[in-house]
Amino acid sequence: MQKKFTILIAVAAIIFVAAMAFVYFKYNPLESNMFPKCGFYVITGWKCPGCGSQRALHFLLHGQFAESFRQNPLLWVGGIYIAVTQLMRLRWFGPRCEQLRLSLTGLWASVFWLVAIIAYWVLRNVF
Amino acid sequence: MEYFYIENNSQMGPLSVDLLITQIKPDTKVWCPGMSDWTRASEVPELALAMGLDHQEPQDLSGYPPNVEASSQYQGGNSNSPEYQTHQQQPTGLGQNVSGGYPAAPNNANTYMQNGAYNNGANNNGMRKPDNYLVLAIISTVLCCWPAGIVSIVKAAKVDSCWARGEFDEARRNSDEAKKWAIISIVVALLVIVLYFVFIIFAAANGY
Repeated sequence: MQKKFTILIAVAAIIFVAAMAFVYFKYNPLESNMFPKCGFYVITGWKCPGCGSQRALHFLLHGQFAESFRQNPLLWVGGIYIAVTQLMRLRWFGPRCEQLRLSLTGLWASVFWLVAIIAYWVLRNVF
Repeated sequence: MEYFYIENNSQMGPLSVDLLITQIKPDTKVWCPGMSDWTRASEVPELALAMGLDHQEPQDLSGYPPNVEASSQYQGGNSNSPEYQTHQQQPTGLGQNVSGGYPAAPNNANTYMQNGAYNNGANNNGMRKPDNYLVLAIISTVLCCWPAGIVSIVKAAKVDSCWARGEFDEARRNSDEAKKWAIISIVVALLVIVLYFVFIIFAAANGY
């Protein structure tokens, strides 16, 4: 029973991701009204750390990496960080890699990201 | 407590328990000071516990080191010599060097930091550091709801700082909190999206 449930969830997730990819590929958040806007931006007029991620996804799906990066650089840096640290969990890389991963996801990493997110947030609204 | 282990006939380590169990299997041979010989991880109570195995009693109760055929697989110098060698050498199979607390000839290239993320001044009895959910916290801050996400990141930081100070229960509490706030952030974002679509459908149905 447990296994069937997991498979069902996995299939649903794949369908969902494929549908989202299709929507973000076909429609441009800059031109279409159907995409939800950031609540914080609508109310205060200031961008939040995530603003532009829908546009970034659209450009990424079209292979325009530079434009995608410009929409939300933090998303790119964070995305690469997450992808690399998860990849480092593979046992194949050995204990040294695991040790490096632990230091990359430890106290200093938490502090770094807290500061980076807030700094990016302030700077993107000032400039 | 740090353990050496055997992988592909090579001696590896020493590693702390937390790192060790990410690298070995239940039947991997391990050794630490105080043990009479290399032993399967599943037969070492501390490791069996950390790996979530049922602790098994060692099979051989004869009192002699069991690996007569194993010693012929390892190359090495005089089996009775307690000296450290300068190149990597396999354990001799007749017991370990007692004075240094290491099995024969640890090779520095195979030893790792003594004080990794899990080894600190406070003795943690081989317990695992709780996950700080940092990755989830970052995702929930950038992509979902930043107020809850920021709380989650702060809690994630506290997991590590508490653990390093030896406050194990507090670290575990902060781990649960970090996960909780990340989930709150994600749920809020999903709710907003659902409400947004409900609103759109409502507006479209009423001809706006």
